[in-house]
Amino acid sequence: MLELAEVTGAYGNVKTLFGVSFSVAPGSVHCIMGRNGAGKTTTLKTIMGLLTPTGGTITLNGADLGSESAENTAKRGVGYVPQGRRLFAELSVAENIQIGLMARRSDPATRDWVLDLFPPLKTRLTQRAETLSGGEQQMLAMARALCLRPSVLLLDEPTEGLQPSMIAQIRNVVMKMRCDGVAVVLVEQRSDAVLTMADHVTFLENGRSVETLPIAGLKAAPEKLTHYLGV
Amino acid sequence: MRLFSRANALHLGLIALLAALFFTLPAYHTGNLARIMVLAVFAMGYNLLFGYTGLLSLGHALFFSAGMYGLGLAMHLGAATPAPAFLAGLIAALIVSGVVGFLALRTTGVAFMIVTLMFAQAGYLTILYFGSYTRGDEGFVIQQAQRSLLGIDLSDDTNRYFAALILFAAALLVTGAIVRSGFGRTLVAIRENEQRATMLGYDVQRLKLIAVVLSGVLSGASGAAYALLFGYAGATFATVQYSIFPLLWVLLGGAGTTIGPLIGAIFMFYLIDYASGLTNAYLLLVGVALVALTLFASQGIVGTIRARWIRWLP
Repeated sequence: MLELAEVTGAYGNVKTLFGVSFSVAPGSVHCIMGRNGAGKTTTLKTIMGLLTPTGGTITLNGADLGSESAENTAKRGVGYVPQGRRLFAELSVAENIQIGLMARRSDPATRDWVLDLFPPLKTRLTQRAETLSGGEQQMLAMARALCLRPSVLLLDEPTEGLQPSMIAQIRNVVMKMRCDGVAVVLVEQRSDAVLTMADHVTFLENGRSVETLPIAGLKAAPEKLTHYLGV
Repeated sequence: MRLFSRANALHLGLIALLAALFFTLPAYHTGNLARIMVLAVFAMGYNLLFGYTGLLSLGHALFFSAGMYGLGLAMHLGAATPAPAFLAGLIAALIVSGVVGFLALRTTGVAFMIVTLMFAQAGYLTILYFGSYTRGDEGFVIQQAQRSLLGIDLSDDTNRYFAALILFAAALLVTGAIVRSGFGRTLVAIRENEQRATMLGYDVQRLKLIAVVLSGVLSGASGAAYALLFGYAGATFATVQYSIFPLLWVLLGGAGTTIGPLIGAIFMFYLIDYASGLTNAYLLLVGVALVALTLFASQGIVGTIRARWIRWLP
């Protein structure tokens, strides 16, 4: 169980998070929504250890995660797919996956498992990552993170700029992770994607979590999307 | 697998070509090539850190001179024979690069450049300060009688050429193996996106320190070999100029390519050699040529060939 309680944070002297709280159970998808600048990506970076929280607690299965470096957070089983993919552009698809596998000394079976999740990558193994299409790059970024066999997966706008068929593939993988017991934290702007993937939604406003509700609650009150997102 | 065999074939072919050149080129050029091959090892060391790991150092003269003085002082003051003296040079470079790396890697970017430059300047001044041992600016000669390894006189032109070739071949094969290994690919990943490598759980600081030490030891091996084969150690080799040279060689040849450092060193050496025969203002010609190359082949000679025509070049 990943739990955030009244987490505050800052970029240097600029405060960005003013109290974010939610919890994500294994085998569930938790979506963070909010307007631009609400603190969604900052929240993910803070969970990952790329930013140090200035207050509150972040725990994973009861153990403190807030004071860990990004390196140790990854070793604790948290995988992160940042916005914009950030691949190792000059390395091939196979090498990108290999880098992910070596990080946790994963076995070849993990490589096969990951490639089975993203079949299009099988035909692109020797191709440089920078030459892939946007959708394939997103698949590779997710594949590399999944090489860690994470218990928590942080996804920052994984469907951004993708065509519907690619979005469907990403959604299928997220659902499979959920079935495998992974706790997925998803930052997403597309409400249709959220409604088909998430179990719970937390809305952020100005760096603060203002409401968390189950997806059924959001479906029953779609006006909340308009209220919090202006859509 | 095919890529690996092609890369190995290229490396072995290059080594064979360099061996064959000794029998076809005039003595003047084989003498130059012996020097270039030793300096190319220096450039290969630099390339490991700059080209593959993405760390721009301005202090590699320190590692080169650590190897040079490690061997030189062991032979000059300790009357050591070449083999243990060469080992002393490697150990000196290992210790110096380990300490410098440990401290300098607390910084990044421009600060890393400045810190490494300052360490190199401190090293240069240390050589001058202990002039009673190092003979300061003047340097010292390693006697010909001392430069004999297993009965082979390394001051002889033929022996020197093939000793330089053996060192170059070993460095090429070792760096080729390193950069194709998982460790080498991880260094490239750090160069491409350090934060992303950290997020995958890599101890980036430790990996960068290993890269600095490997780079330093290769540079030190070059410095030690230079002193042994050419019989001289001097403070000139510890100046900032010798930190800039490997950067230029690597940039010209192609950063992040295995044979680029040799190509860059050859190009630079002969550019200066040819231009200085034309005019006293040869540095102007060299500058113009370097600017043109940078403009039209920004990835260096081998880097540009790889980007445009031969994608599999290692």
